[in-house]
Amino acid sequence: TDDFEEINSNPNAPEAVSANLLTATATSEIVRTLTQEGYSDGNTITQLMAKNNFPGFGQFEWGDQGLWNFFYQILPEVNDILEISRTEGTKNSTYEGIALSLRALCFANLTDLYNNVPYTEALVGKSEGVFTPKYDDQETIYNGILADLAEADAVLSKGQPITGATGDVIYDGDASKWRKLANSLRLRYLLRISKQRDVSAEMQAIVNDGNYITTNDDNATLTFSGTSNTDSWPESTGRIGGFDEKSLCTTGLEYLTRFNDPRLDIWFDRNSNGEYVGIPIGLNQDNARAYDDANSPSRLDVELFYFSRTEAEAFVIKSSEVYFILAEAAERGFISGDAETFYNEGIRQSMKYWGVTDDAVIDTYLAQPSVAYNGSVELLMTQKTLALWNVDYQGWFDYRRTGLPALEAGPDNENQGRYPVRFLYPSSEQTLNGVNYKAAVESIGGDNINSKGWWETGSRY
Amino acid sequence: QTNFTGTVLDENNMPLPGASLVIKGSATGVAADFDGNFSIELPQGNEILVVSYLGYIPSEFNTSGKTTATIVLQPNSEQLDEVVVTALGIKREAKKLAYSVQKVSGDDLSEAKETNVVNSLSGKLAGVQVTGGNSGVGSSSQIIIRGESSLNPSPNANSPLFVVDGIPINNSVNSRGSENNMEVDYGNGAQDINPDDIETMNVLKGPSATALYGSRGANGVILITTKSGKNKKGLGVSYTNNTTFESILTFPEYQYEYGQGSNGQFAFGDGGQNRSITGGVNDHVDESWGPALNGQLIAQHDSPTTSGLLAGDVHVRPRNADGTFSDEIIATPFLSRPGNIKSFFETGHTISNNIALTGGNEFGNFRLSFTDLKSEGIVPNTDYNRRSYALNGSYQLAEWFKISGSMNYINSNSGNRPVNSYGTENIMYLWVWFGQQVDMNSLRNYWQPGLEGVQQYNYNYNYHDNPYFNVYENTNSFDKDRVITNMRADIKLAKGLDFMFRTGFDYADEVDMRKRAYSTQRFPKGQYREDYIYSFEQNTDFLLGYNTTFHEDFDLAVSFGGNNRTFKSSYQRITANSLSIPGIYNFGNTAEPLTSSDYDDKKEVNSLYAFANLGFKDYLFLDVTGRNDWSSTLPLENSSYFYPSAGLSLILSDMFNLPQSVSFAKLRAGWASVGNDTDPYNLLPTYGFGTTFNGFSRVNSPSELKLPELKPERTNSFEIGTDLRFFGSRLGLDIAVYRSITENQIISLPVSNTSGYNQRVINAGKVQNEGLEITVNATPVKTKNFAWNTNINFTSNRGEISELTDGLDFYQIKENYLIVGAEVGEKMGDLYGTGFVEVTDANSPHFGQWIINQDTGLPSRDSELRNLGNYNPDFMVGLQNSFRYKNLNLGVLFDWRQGGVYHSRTVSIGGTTGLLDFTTEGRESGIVAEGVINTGTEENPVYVENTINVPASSYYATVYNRSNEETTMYDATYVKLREVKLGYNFPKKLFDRSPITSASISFVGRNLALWTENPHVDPETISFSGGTVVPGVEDMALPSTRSYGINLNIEF
Repeated sequence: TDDFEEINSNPNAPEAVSANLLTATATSEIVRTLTQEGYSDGNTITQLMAKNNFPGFGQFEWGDQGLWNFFYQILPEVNDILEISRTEGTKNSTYEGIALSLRALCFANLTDLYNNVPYTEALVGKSEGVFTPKYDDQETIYNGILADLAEADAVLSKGQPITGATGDVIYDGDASKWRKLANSLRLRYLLRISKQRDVSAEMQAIVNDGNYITTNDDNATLTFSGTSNTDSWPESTGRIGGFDEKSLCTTGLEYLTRFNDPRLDIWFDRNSNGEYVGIPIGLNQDNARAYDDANSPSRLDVELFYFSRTEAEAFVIKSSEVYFILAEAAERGFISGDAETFYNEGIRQSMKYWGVTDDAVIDTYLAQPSVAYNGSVELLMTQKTLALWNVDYQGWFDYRRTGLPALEAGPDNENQGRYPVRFLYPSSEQTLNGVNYKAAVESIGGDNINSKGWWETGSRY
Repeated sequence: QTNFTGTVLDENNMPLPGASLVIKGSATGVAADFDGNFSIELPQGNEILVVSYLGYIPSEFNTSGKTTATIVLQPNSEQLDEVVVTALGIKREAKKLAYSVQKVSGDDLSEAKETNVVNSLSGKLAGVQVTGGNSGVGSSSQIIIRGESSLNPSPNANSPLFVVDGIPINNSVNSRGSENNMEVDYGNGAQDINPDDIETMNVLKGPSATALYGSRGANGVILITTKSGKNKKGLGVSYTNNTTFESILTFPEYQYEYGQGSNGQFAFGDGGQNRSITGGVNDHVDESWGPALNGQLIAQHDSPTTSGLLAGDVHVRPRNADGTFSDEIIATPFLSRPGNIKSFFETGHTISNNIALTGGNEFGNFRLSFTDLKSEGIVPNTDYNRRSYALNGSYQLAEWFKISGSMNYINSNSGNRPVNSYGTENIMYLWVWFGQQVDMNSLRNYWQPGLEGVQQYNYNYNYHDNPYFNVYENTNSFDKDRVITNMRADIKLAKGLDFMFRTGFDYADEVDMRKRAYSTQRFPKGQYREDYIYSFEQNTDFLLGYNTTFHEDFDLAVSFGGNNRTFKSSYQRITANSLSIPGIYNFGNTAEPLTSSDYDDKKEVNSLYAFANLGFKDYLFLDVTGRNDWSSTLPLENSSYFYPSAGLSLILSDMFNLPQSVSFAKLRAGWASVGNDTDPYNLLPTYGFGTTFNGFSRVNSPSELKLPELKPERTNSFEIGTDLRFFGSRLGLDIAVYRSITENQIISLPVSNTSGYNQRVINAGKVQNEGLEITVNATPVKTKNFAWNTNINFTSNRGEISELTDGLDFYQIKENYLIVGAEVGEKMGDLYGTGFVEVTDANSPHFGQWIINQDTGLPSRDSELRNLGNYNPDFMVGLQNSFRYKNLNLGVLFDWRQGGVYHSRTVSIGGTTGLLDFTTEGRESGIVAEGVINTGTEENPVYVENTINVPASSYYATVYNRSNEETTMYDATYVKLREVKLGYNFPKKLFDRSPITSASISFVGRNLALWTENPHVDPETISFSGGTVVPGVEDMALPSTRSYGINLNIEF
């Protein structure tokens, strides 16, 4: 028995690793998943896209949609990066800033999608022995998110370089760019809670500092290398049937035709009659198939979104979104500056990102009466929705906050005509964290898709 | 004094070496030699010899007037002195044991042969539950003795230990690689054992019987003794052929009235790849809600085109610049095709040939055996083959020194094993999503012309693979070499003092290869993967035993022994996720970086043990054992653990004068406490390797929190039983009642992932199993020419979770659609899932009815988990009858399982897709869902009968919705006609002038008939999920089969 300890020492896997290996996992999985979600369900809930087969999501036949598990299972990597970046000997403020930014991003998504979630007691199974963490309310979580991002801004400002492989698939360890990302996220989340809280000072301070994403070059994007299924555009590795289930939605078609928008041709294919045709969301299976047969709705662009492994990118936040945030903030008087200028720049950045590079073409587009800014928040939000194509669920969060642009439930929806505002908690929480789950359900007014969160019920506007 | 010589033979005229011959009324006697020969001096007037041999009826032989004789002993069918093999391979008289040992003889296994020997135990033994796998010949079988006691989700956690000739062997279930829908069952370890080489199987149930195996015996032990050349003189040759055919026993009942499509509409365009360009009506839909199959003309995948191709040749048909086809499809009749799907299947067959040579002389003996088994499954191009080479021998080097050993080499392989579980790779999946107009024959040529090897031909291109393409091109092969061997020396140190030393190992080396062709749905550029699995376990043990008799009435046997167990295994997987050149399956042909994974483990356990058997007057027997293990997998401070056992056996019929009708009566009681260790590396969490991403290496944080202070598990058990025989043992009754409590279980507890971990290893849980086992043996008729034997065994077990851990009252053991959960105070095997919103007010006349959503006219799913029943049976009964008339014998075995439930995924999906027979109801008229509508408020409901008529497709899509498991829960009760054997022993005189010594033929059938609730699938089912076996779920199981055939045996 003398050699038992040696026999039982694990030769297969390490007990400790360096930050770059975890950063590679966290950055790639988070960005990829966010965009994969945005491409399918995010675009559907904002009605840019609708399913012609298996249309349950558009009928609001919802469960937990899998994102709970995704975020809580990637957060340990993020936490480990943070711990390593703060440990003597492996200290690195850039990794620390990356981890803080990613932690904020994950928890913001969790609370925006599910409302109350475990936060203050989350992820401390090992350190504190808590395996059934309590759920925190959305306000508490947002306080934490904003604090993390402010701290990220502070540590990233040190600009400490990372030597060797960074593992960072977004910015390859560039601290200044991560700082811009952190501040852009701060702008996003401050605006999100602005119905509940006066955020003007904080937003203005960030704008004044100017360390946020202002050009497409600074975008937090992931370009797939396409060397394997893993690092390829996810849809390109699936069955053609999965791709073919997605069509242009009538609502999105209406926006894009109203604006005479070149992005229609970039994102969608014409049908056999050479036309762009949409399909409404919220049809049931039979009706969706019947509609599909009768009208032949347009598919998504097959070259861009199916056949190419590398052309479509994944992203967290792009310059266009930041300008639309600023436009709305200016319009509402949270920050100084001209809303129209921000609005126009938001459109310009989005057009350029999607390949409309000719400024003259964009100028002509902006000059159209249907596009030209007139102070209407609805117009602003409609353009923002288009700019949020493929950006996880940000368009839906904006809709839930502002009600703009107005969205109607489809004819065969299973939610009595109501537009849903959250996903359900995963059933595993019922069995594994039952007491806290019940308390949370009680506190949010029921584990159903209509229980509104804190930031969408504010009354400041 | 006269000298008397003779030979003692058994009923087959084989010598009985060592048979004892004692002069009646004296202590004088001799033992027969190896050939059964003896010579004895008889004193005058003493002419009676008492001849005895263990397991045979003692006989008195009158020598008067003779100087030589052949004495034939008859086996003791009453088995009062039956000898059974107990723990550590020690042979003991059954009557002395404080527990029951059940024995299955090799003949029982090899006649109506199961390729997987575990299946042969089904229905034959009380307390033993066998569930056969669902992927044809070569599938894993699960065996559970006295209920599940472990909360560990591993498929092997509740498996008994298998021991071959004293050497523990690996019985782990091998189902790796669930990713990309490639869940393949490569069988359980014990199925490598060749039934032709088995002399006996002894089943030790419960810790009292298995305490000497300690850690590993908690779930029971199956001791397999292989055949030897013992008791054989000269050379003997035997030849056995077993040829059986397998045909479908249960098959989903499909509808044949409606074809592919939706809303009654269908026309083939391009099979669903891009219908916004190529037209087609609902041809992307892989369901059968299409037009009625009335022979009307509709464009179909196998309709010809004006370009001379088939419509389905979409990659070679001529196209215009805009992507539309330039040829036209010539519509063909839309026809009903009853039996279409079934026509894909073939009659399977299994041919097994065994030849065995035995021989021996007074010093030694040997047996050499070779068996070749070839089997082809009911799924085309699937097979299972096994070659077994067995050598067994012993040699008496000196009177005090004997050596023996055995070696089994087994090669098993398959060119293709069917894929299990849900997903495109399983052919059963292809037929819960299907167009019922599709003619199976139209899919036989599965390449598009000119694109052979590159692009398959199919009826649908957006979700599915052609089933023939699936089974002929996308194969899952394996090739496994296994050696099980032991060497043993027995030394007589002094009178009554014996020493045994033994070492042996079980070595297995396996390569699995998965090939995926170009154009496979999940692998458009093909794939090639190899898995290497190696395992090696060596056990070395010794035993020192001393026997003595004192004070006349006392027999004492004490033993002391030790064991070293060394286990190593490794697993390696390499995958080329896409191929440069189609059809070349070589890693050099990879089109992208190879991915791989690798795992090695090692474990060592040292043990010391001692035991004593004390007998008084041959009617009171006391057994005491103690064993201590030291395991490398536990923390050093907890690595040593001790477990004792004690048992008492009382032969009442020898103690007291019982009525004559009672031939034998015994009471027994046993108590044992055993410990258990864990898997290697369960003490510290580690990071996992991920695939590279954009050139960066990736790792994952540990998802399982380990426990550095792990303690060994503990099982305490108590059992009492009785063995009663009446009327000259014509009627026998064996009853056992037991209770076992397993606590401090080492389990990987699923925890809320919000804690940062998915699982944590803890010591927790207390599971109590209680059960009753009854075996009745009767011989109602016994005459010279006719005999009828009947055996009924009854098994009932309840496992209850009495404790988990502080603050935890529910534990999710495993999940496959349904959650197998352990709730404090509830039973083991409870299944949790979801159902529809129902009226929950017990006082309402509508209590339990669905509440229909008045907008949709359909019930709505309630996301709250509910208990949907338990997968364990209430009880099981095996009924075995055998009849003998002269040389003819007939055996019939029924297997009855009562109670328990299971979820049928086949019915769930086949219901939503309009494939199964019941979905024709309401297709024309629509359906009104049974249920009520709440016209009041939520607080004050007013229920009225639902009257909303909805289209059948919507109705079935909602009611059979796969995430709502309650609709497709079925009663798992069944009765199976498990086995029928009709045999004939050719009379010996037929072979008087030939070298043949005996010959027999039998007609055998297994699983011939089934009676159960759900007509679509076999309720004897287990599913695989991520390498874990999940009972209570039928997940796209292959049809179960019946088999029938001939067994021929000739001996020379």
